[in-house]
Amino acid sequence: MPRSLGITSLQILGAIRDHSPYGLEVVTRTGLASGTVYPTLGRLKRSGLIKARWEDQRAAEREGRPRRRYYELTAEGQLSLAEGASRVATLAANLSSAALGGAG
Amino acid sequence: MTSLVARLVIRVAGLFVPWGRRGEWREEWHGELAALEYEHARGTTGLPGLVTYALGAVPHAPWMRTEGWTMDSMLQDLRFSTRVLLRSPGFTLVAAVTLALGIGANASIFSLVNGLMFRSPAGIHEPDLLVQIPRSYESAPRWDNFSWLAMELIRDESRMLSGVAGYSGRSLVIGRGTEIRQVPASSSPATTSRYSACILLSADCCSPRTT
Repeated sequence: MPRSLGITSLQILGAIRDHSPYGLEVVTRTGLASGTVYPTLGRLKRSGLIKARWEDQRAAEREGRPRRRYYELTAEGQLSLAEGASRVATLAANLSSAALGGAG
Repeated sequence: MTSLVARLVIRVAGLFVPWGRRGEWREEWHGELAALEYEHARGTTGLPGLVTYALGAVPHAPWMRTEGWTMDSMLQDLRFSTRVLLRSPGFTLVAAVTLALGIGANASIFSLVNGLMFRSPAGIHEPDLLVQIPRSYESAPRWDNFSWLAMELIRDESRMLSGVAGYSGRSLVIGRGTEIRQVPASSSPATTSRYSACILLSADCCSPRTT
């Protein structure tokens, strides 16, 4: 059964799905603080929703920089992201209709 | 310069990461910093500053330390520390006595300070609503006392205060002629226990002078 995730976790999972495989890209894509992103990445990894792998050392050395840690979604992570996105969409629709009802 | 500061932040924060995971942790952060520096050099906009980014390592490092904590690991630590303490009873005794004295002394001082300075006086249920009214003159702006008559006037005429009490550090004689009575020190003449104002009385409260 997919886990119920918060908005921050969903944003990060979404960023990883959309080809932002390492921390800096997740930070720039989501606009979240680095102090929020890295612990959340650790939690998601521990929950088995993402997995991490190190970049090939030689590839990094060729570019003269330290190697990076790349993240990717697991099958469970994809399921949780889909469930979370649907939950957020339902919530947003409910809020919109409530706001329109209130305005009218 | 900012690069140096950012690396220093990561180095210091890394001290809080468990030793076995510190190397990888630093490598990941240095990798991200290098990528950020590269993007800055390319002129990419909308990126955080190096130091701002590195400051994210500060909450990340203690999180690394606590994430692996489980009840089993804590019980294991507890068993280990118990065995070590039992192995050197002299050290254990000295440590226990030192702790007991330190805790006892702190608790005594706190009780004293709490009783004398922090707790509200007896009979006052809402100390945050209590105010003290001073008196001052334009020519002599200083904290001054009220006479008994002035205190009575404020108590009777005020519409903002639910009650008024006066107090004095020493006993006072109130009244005129043969109709006098003595009010003991720190006496409270208010009729309600929910005081809202407290007025320091002057020693010359018997004087017919009013403020």
